[in-house]
Amino acid sequence: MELIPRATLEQIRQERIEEVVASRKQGTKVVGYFCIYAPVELVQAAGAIPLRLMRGGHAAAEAGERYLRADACSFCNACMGNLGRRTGDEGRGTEYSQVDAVLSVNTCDMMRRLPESIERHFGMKVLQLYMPRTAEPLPQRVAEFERQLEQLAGELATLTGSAPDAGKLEAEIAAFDRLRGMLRQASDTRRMNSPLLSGGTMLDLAATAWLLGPVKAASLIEEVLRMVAARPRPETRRPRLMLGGSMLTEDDRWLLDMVEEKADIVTDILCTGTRWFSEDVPADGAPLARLARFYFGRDCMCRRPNRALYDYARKLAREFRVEGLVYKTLLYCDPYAFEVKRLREALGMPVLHLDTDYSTENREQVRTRVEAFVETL
Amino acid sequence: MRAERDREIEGSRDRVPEWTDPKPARVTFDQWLDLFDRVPDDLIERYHYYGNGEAWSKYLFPPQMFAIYGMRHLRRLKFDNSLAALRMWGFVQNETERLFRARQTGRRVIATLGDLGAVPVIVNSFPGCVAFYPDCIWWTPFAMESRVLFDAAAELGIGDATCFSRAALGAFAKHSYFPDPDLVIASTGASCDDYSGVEQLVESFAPDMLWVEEPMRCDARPTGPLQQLLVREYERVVERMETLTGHAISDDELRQGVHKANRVRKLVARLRELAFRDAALAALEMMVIEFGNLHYYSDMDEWTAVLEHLLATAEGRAARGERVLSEDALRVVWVTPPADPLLLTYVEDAGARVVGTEYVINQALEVMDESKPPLEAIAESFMAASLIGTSRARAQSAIDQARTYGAEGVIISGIFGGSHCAMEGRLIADYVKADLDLPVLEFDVTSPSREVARQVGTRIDAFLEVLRSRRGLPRLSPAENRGCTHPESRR
Amino acid sequence: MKELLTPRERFGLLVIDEAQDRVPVFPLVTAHAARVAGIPLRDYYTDGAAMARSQLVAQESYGTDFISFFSEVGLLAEALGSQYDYPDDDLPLLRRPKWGDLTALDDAVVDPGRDGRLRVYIDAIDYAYEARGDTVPILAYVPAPFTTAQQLVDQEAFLLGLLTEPERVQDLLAYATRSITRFCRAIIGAGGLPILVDPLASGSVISAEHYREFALPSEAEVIRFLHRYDLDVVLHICGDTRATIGMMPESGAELLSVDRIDIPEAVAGAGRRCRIIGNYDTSAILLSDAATVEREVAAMVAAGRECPMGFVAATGCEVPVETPPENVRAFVRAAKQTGFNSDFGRGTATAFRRGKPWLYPLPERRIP
Repeated sequence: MELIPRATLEQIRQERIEEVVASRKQGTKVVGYFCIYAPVELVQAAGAIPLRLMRGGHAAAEAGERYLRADACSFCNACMGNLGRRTGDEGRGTEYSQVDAVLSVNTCDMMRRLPESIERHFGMKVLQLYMPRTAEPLPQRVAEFERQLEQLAGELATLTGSAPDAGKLEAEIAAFDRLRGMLRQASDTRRMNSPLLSGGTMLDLAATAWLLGPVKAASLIEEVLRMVAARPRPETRRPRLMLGGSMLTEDDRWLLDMVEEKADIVTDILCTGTRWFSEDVPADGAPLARLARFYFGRDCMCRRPNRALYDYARKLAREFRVEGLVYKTLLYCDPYAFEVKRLREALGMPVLHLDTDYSTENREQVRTRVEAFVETL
Repeated sequence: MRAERDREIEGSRDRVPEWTDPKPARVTFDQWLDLFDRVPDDLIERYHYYGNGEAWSKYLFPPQMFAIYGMRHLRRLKFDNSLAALRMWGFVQNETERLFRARQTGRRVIATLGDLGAVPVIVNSFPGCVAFYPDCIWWTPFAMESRVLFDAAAELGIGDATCFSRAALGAFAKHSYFPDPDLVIASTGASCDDYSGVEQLVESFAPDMLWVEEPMRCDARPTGPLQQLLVREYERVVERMETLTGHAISDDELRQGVHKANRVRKLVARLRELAFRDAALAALEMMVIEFGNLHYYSDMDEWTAVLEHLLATAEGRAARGERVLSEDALRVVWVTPPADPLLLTYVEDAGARVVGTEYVINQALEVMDESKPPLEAIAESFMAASLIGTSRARAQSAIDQARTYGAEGVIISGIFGGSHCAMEGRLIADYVKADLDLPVLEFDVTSPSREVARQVGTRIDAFLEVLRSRRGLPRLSPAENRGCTHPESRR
Repeated sequence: MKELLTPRERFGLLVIDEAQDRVPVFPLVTAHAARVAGIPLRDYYTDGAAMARSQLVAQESYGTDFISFFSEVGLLAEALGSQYDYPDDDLPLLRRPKWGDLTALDDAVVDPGRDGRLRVYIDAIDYAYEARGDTVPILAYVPAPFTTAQQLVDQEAFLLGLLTEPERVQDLLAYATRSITRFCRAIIGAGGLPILVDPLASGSVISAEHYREFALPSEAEVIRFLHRYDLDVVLHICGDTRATIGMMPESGAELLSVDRIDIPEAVAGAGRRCRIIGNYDTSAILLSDAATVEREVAAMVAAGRECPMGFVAATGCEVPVETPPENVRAFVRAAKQTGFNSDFGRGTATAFRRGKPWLYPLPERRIP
């Protein structure tokens, strides 16, 4: 039985969306963003509400093919589909319907190019943040990224009419660090045998917490931690798995449910999972400089070289006593798909690689593969 | 600027008094063998690479030689029938051997990946160093009509629904398409994901690889700070090259390197003009010429001489009013280089000609500002790169050329699964249609094969029919459409 | 076991003086391929597609590094007018040479599309090239002028002519050369790499002096023609070449395929200027058991891979038609294992360096 029923989390999310609707009516701007490189502290310090746009889904992806080719990654197509439908019935009540501007960071090539399609087809304002893709934190790269953050701060100020000064930024950094810390605490409960918090619920919790924002999320996460502490853990011991791959969203929840029928997902290296909250902003220095160092230093398969993500995966595998990796990539997601062989060699454990889009037709085939994989462990 | 450029390349003509080119034409593979029989021995003896006089460094050989060593696709293509073109083909096809000879004769071989045109300017400024792009190996599977390199890449984790540039990874694994480089410099950032992924996997063959950032260009913002970032990145390249070679490079040497690269770029700019305006050269040769701007096919001095020879030929033709393609040919701009060169032959056989190109290498065509410090000049020209900015910018380049040369249509060739192709194709087509109201054909190049895939051929034929009808010309029958020079009817 | 390089990649490295992943393996499987493919011999040498299919099957079956087309040394002579019998289950046999003596010559030059069975070769090359030319080099044996001349004229008269009518012999060699180069050109156009084969110039047939005076210059003339196309030329002389090995590089050939000479002697005589191809005894591969073949080939390759310019593990001459396939497999297995280069691709590979330029003074041109 789930620690928090999915329906409960969904209700919390809907209530939050309604709050956002109300805030917008009061003049608050909403900035949608796609990935963990978006400096949410800066957005919030400028008085806007950051909302992560991370829905996938077959219908949305199909709708997106009006704008992009079928061999654009399914998530990009879904983004376009969801934005395209935001004013219609399907979009009402979703995050996409509330976005005043989109903040895009150049991670992979497709995501870097998405803004141009968004602007052209939907006339939406896009704030582009350039972050050096090369990962070594050379002074010129971090300095340029900090300059870009300054530029973004100015653009946010224009959007909201409120400049994110150092004081506000400092406060937001502290708040989001608290959120990160709490999410880490929740995720860390899975170090134990037979964890109570499932992988699926953890992803939902993370998504909900970021939607709620640091202040409102605290009570939710505290409640989860209380429940984990209070409830007895099952006696049975199941295989311990790590989850990885391209952006996994709630539209991929079926996969997690499938895996967790037979195994425990005890950790992950997903950008919608632990990588969202794995570290805090450094404590020393001016706030914008700290933000620059923090976001520059985040790992991702798209970075070059991407050794840091491998180090992170190995560390988690060790600390969480992982026995296997379920690695799900989206069709045409090159940065993640290319790494399968290398991951297998680096982790030295069984890896189940699933490469699919959001269509539902192949789920039984996937089930067979998942079951066979778990049985080998 | 143009007059200055013309003065710069004045007096550089390579004249070959003992040879007279036949009337300009595109000839078949077999016809080139007949023509080659007329080439005197002393001309074959004349051209060498690396300034070497020994027999092994000759390169004036016909396509047959390279076909025998595996380049099967040459049999399907049509070639310019000039001596200059023969020289160009021999030089370019010879590159694998030349890279190994570079190593054997004590040169350092540096593999530069990703940025397509900037880093080699620095590398070539160092004495005894040769830069090359493994990226250009993406043509090899097509040239050989072979899956060998793709299969090698697949074993390393890159499957078929990706850019053909994955052949470069296969080549690294094989150690037989170029010598193991002394240094690998990989540029990535605002760049194609497929090749960025290739670069990441190449790192397993070159653990000491130097990564260089390619900044993202936003059309609405000044590029100055990004240029400065690039300059710092290029300083790292210089530093690494100095460590590798033990040579402390001077500013003058770097300036000289920029100047020599500019000479090549100016020659090519003039050649493009003669080709697009006057049909002095055909599309296949022009694609080879343009891509020479990337790394000068591993011998800058000799490549410069080849270009001068080509320019003399093209200018002679223009002066005499001689064209290699008909004045009636339908005029198209081509966006994104076709991995299969047979497509260019196909389109020309069908009665069209290419009057503009946006081959994702704009950064290698830009003439650098020699009044600036060399690394700044290189950085500034790189900021005009095709792939670091928006599709709008690429489309604008195509639109500008279409206007200049009176194009009647635009062809966009892509690759299924290629990251930028998936995102850019429709956008570029939309911009072109909106600005120029020209028909646009977008298609994906299919896997290596001896002939153009029927579905692609049909679409090209239909597209050209549309262009024809817009002129008010009568429709052609399929046989007429193909002329008598269909690649399938080679024998 | 899957290999890193294709045969074509391997050969490409050999001819540009670079170390390979292993020694290339080339038992001279010619007509024997017909047996492997179950195709009648007569079909093999009269039908290009049959010849090609045989070679493709044999190459795949044995895992060798080349496809090579050859039936008999009289190919050009037949095209010029000598007459051959075609037994049902044997290779063509010379019935009557074109001329009984060194008489006046005609102006004939072969038309490779029409004369004799030249078309068979061209078709075979074309077929194999389209089928597998991306991964395997396609070679075609071309009888050299000296050998062809002995199929155009009564052999006794020819050999006597070396002493009594040397100028007429030279004229005949020039006559043969014109057709040979024409045929080579057609092979080049079809995608094949000509190999010059000159068995009747070996020490088993003529003296070293006659080799230098007659056979060598005519070989060099053909090779000069092939060098216009920058082709890497194999010169194959089966039989005893101990007395002529030191001269053979002067032909200009980049690779020398040898037979009755010890490998160390061949390397000493020519290994600084040419790659050596050879030279397992063809009687041994026919008659020995597989274990013996394996052992002896291993010893041969161990010696041959020391050749400074490079080595190709081969038989001294054609694998006899009736050779047991397991013996050929044993040959290939031993050659690949012993010839394996564990340094390849590790950044420590030793390259074969060019010792000296290959341009030795060539014998005087004879072709007008």
